[in-house]
Amino acid sequence: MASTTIAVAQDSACYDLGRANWDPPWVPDLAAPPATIPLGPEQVVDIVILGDGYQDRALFEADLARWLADFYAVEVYDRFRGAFRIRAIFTRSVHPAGADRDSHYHVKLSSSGDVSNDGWWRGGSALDREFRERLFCALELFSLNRSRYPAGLDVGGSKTVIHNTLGRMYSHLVVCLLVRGPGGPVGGRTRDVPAPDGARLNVAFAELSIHEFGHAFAYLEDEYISQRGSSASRRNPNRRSLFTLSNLSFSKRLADELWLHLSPWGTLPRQAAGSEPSPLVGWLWRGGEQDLKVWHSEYQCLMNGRHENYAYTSDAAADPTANPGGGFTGANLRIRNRYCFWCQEIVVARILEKTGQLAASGDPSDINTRGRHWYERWVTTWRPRYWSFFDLPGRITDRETYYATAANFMSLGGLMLWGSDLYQPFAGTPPPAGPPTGAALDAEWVLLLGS
Amino acid sequence: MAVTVGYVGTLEVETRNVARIWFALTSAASNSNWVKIGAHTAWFTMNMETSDRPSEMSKLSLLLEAMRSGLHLRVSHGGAASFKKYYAHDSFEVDGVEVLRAGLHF
Repeated sequence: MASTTIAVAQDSACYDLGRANWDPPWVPDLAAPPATIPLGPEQVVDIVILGDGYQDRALFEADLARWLADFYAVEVYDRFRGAFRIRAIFTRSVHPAGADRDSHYHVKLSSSGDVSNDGWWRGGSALDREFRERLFCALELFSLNRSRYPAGLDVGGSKTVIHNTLGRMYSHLVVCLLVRGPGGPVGGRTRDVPAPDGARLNVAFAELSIHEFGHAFAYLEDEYISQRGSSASRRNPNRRSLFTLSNLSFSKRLADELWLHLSPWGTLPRQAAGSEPSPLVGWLWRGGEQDLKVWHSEYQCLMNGRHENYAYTSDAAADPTANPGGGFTGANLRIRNRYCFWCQEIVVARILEKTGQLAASGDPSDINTRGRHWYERWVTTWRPRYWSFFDLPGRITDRETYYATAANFMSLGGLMLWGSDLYQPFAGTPPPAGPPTGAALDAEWVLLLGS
Repeated sequence: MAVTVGYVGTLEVETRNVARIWFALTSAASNSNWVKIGAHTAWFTMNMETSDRPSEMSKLSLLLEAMRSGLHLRVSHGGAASFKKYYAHDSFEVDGVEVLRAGLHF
């Protein structure tokens, strides 16, 4: 007699996460809040969460819940929650992820327990290929928005502001691959994985990390200093485009800055005198992967971290993170649930770009020309709406107060952050040189000034 | 273009490699709270050996009057200069100055 038992397979399961948020999909109408705009299937952004090294389904589900809570704790993702269709797949692993790669997806960990950086995700070994086969096979379980950036999208190669060369990348699909190692947290990494159809897929590998999602979805860069004394060799793009927006600047010149509008010289002018705390939001803060010749816009951010960060000063003798026996711990400058204002703005711009809100009739057909048009449209039309929607003046004022309060930075031992040498105002451009003129008028000026 | 407001608190002339006029601002006409940009007091400067010296001299006349009469001043300037008065990033080349009549404020 045939069995009629219906059983749930315990070795795999699919999940909808927060379905009420995104079914049907929508974005807030920044031009007329609190109205919303419905999204079509070609506009929604897909997030698929997978797990590697999970031997226990309950543990995966607990991590899913934590990931989701972390995601919606970031205001920009909460307010645009209708744009992100989030689903997950549990597949049991017999073994945790590790260097021997006998977990389900064969994610490779280094000896230090971090996701290995030796190129295995695009490699040619049997395990490398099986990783990709299992990854893309899992994605077949869902109907996904597989839109991709045109191959001709030019972000200036690997020496420009963002590491992601976006051409042929899935623009509306990100995989977050939660990794469980044999013990302790697994350090995160985001890499683009070649797909069978010639596209490339951004995969955020991590135990749990919205930080990695920021890399994978919004192409944000690390703001921490990996190695003190290291020097950046990248450069800002010659022409501004929505596709090359970066949270890092490789120029300190006032004329080159992308986040001038957030600075004390920007849309909300701020200045201080005497013993008042100086405004700090939007200046040049030292570091961004490297230590020198690269800057970010705020002291703390979700895209920052620890590594070899300075806490208050680059003077090693006065480093609050110095250990008595030598060395240092590095300052943890990550806020788990908050982007700095510039990263937040980039995320909003990316969401609106991907969901088609920046498009208008008459847009250039060439993707690179279109990116420049959209940047201009962002600055003139959408940025003011974004500022109003997020109440940026109030938020910046609150943030300045936060940075001015010593109690928020107890590890600095009472030092006021505004006295730090880790930030600086934008630099000027030297005036054109030329021989002095007007000497013949000096006598008249002396008479005038003396009157 | 950056803008800083305040009251002229000091006016200096020096010849250190190049002839320059320097001035710094206070937050009120009657106090000594020096306006900062970043961590340090901001020093604004004009090169008197520029190719447009008459323009710099006309700014000087406004600065003098602002200092004498306690007038509110708005300085437009560039980013931090490559040279310094006392600390790195504390000097700013002036593009223009605006002065208000006594009792008016920017």
